[in-house]
Amino acid sequence: MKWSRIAFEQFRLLAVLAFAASASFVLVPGTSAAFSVGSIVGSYGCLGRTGGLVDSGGTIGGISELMRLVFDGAGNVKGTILLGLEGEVCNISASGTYSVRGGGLGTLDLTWNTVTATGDADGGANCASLNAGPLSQHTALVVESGGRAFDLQAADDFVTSPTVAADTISLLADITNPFVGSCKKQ
Amino acid sequence: MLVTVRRDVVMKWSRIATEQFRLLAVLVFAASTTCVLVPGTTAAFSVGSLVGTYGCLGRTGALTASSSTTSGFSEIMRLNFDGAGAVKGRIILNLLGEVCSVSVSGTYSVKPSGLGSLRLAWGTLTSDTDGACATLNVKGVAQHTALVVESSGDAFDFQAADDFLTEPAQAPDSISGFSDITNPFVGSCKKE
Repeated sequence: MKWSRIAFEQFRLLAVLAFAASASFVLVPGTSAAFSVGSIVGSYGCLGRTGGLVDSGGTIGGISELMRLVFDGAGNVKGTILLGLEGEVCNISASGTYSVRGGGLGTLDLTWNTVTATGDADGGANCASLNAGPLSQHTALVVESGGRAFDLQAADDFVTSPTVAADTISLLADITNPFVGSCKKQ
Repeated sequence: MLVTVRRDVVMKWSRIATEQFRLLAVLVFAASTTCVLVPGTTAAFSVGSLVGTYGCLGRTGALTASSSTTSGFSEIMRLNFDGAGAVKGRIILNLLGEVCSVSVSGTYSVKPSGLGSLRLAWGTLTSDTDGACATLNVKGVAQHTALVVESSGDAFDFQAADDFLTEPAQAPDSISGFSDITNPFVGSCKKE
């Protein structure tokens, strides 16, 4: 009987400790292992934009992106980017990878697969120029609202191509007025 | 004997019908669950996803004026979506510091993915005493944006289409200062 009571008490203590440990991971986001790629799963709507950028002709422009991205909870992502590029709109199918560290900071890398122009008759020029190589865009992210939302900010470089040296893609590489935005679960 | 055979046949048909109904119910449940639980699946969103009244805020980035000063415009909007593709409401337009009030009506679309479009036709504009809005009182001006549904329809983000503003009597890109906006107009709406 005595051994039975001791064993029972040991089991209770173990259960309490296990509960406390798991609760701290859930309730204290700063705790390691609170977030992972599994924290971002499902489809998200996103909006991002740069601040004002001055081109070589002195004109102030900028870019924006309206995105719909589907995350698989295991580090893979795919979706659609509507890129507003100095007044033209490009429809881009994209796929890539993402990471989330225990603290909730992470990365999102999207490779542009196909770029087509949408909109009026003059809309083809800028979009067609983006089909020159396999471009990828890179952002940092931070998880919010238990994974229902996250903010993002351009990495260095924001847009890269394996066939082009870093910082040489006009308007897109080292963006002097950063591209930032946010995503919310659909 | 005949009665017994008929009863057996009826029983058999009854069992088959019951099994068919069960199978159908399972399939319907599985299909609907797939649509709800897998957002990438078709039929997840429609115009019915946006219904009711939304408050919105949008703005351009900095734009260059002819005097080389930076400028821009913003819109506070209150829009009512009927859940069937029609929308109406009011825009408070801040244009280079002047404020115009615009009644609007239009249409919207939402694809199963949640991406869609919003077209708002401007009615009459009213303005403050220095009257800068009167120049915008041309017939048939409409603004065009793409949108993406978020938070199960409680919110959506939008971004200027190409062109942002159109007018039937004018070719694209010919409405001064509005058509190809070099620093895009973007914003978000939330259910009131």
